Amino acid sequence: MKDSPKTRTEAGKPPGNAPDPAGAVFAEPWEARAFALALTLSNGGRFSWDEFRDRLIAEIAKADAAANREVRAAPASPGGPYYECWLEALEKILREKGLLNAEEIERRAAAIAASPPARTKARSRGPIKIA
Amino acid sequence: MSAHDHDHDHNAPDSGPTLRVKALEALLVEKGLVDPNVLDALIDAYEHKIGPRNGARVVARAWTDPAYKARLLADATAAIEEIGLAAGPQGEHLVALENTPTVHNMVVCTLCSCYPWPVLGLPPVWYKSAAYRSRAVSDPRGVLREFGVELPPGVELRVWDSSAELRYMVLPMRPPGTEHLGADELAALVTRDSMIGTAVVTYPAESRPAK
Repeated sequence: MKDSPKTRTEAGKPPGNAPDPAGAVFAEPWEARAFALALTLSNGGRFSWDEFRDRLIAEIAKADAAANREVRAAPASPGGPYYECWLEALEKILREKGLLNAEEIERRAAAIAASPPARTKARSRGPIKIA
Repeated sequence: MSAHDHDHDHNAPDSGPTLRVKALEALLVEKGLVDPNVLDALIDAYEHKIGPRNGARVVARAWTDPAYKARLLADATAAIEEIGLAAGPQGEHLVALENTPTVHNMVVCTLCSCYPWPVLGLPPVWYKSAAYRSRAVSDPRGVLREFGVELPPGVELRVWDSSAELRYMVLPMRPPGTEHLGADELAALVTRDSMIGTAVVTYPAESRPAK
């Protein structure tokens, strides 16, 4: 614990008093997916919540230390680095429990990145008949 | 550490967290480990159904029913179940802390983000920030001041660290002048921050009936 209070949070706001935008529980859609993945896997008994929490605490401690050294890159979310830590903890526990391996995660991420979103299916081709 | 470094080494345009999460979800669904419909339902619940309005109901009930208040302070988990809230994850061991004219309680999770989900939903961004997690301990009165709460010197400030074992919620003081209000009207006055202990409940003049 530092004696000198930090004057800004990771989100660049004054500490403590910035209200969240109304109703915005998650700042980004991926945060919601990452949250729900961890919760549903834990609910299903794939790992205990404490096991996940231990890894989350470790990632947060790492992020705090990096922020104190000011070496950390800007967080990917306006909500701050918290869900990046969450995602890191989730990937770790998935690998450690043997549910997914690092290679298949990389492969799938690369495949998704390489495939453009399939828009054509959703695009209307116009009326099938005009009478 | 090595895995962490690896994840951030490649900075291709699409290597952000959106892509990582998509890859994880796709693989986990393929393996039958998660059901995407369950994910949707969970997200919907935490975005729209499980939030501080739940806790506000608990507070209003405690303000209007002394026997309920006694049960809440004795066993908060049982007391929230009594009014139809599922203790569920992060609510199994809930403790209610009563604010009084001489004691103000404030809750933090110094290590991560432990929080009483069933009564307050998911925590706000500031609750998870490094600044709040450290300063709630090093300078709690200063933090309260930034939230607009000036605690009189005679009031003892107690800071509680939430953990995996215990989740705390604050039972704020009922504001004066609300004796005529029913439980629903009282619940509408109760804010999320007042149940974290970073605000007090007020009864604004404009919402009072004209005399």
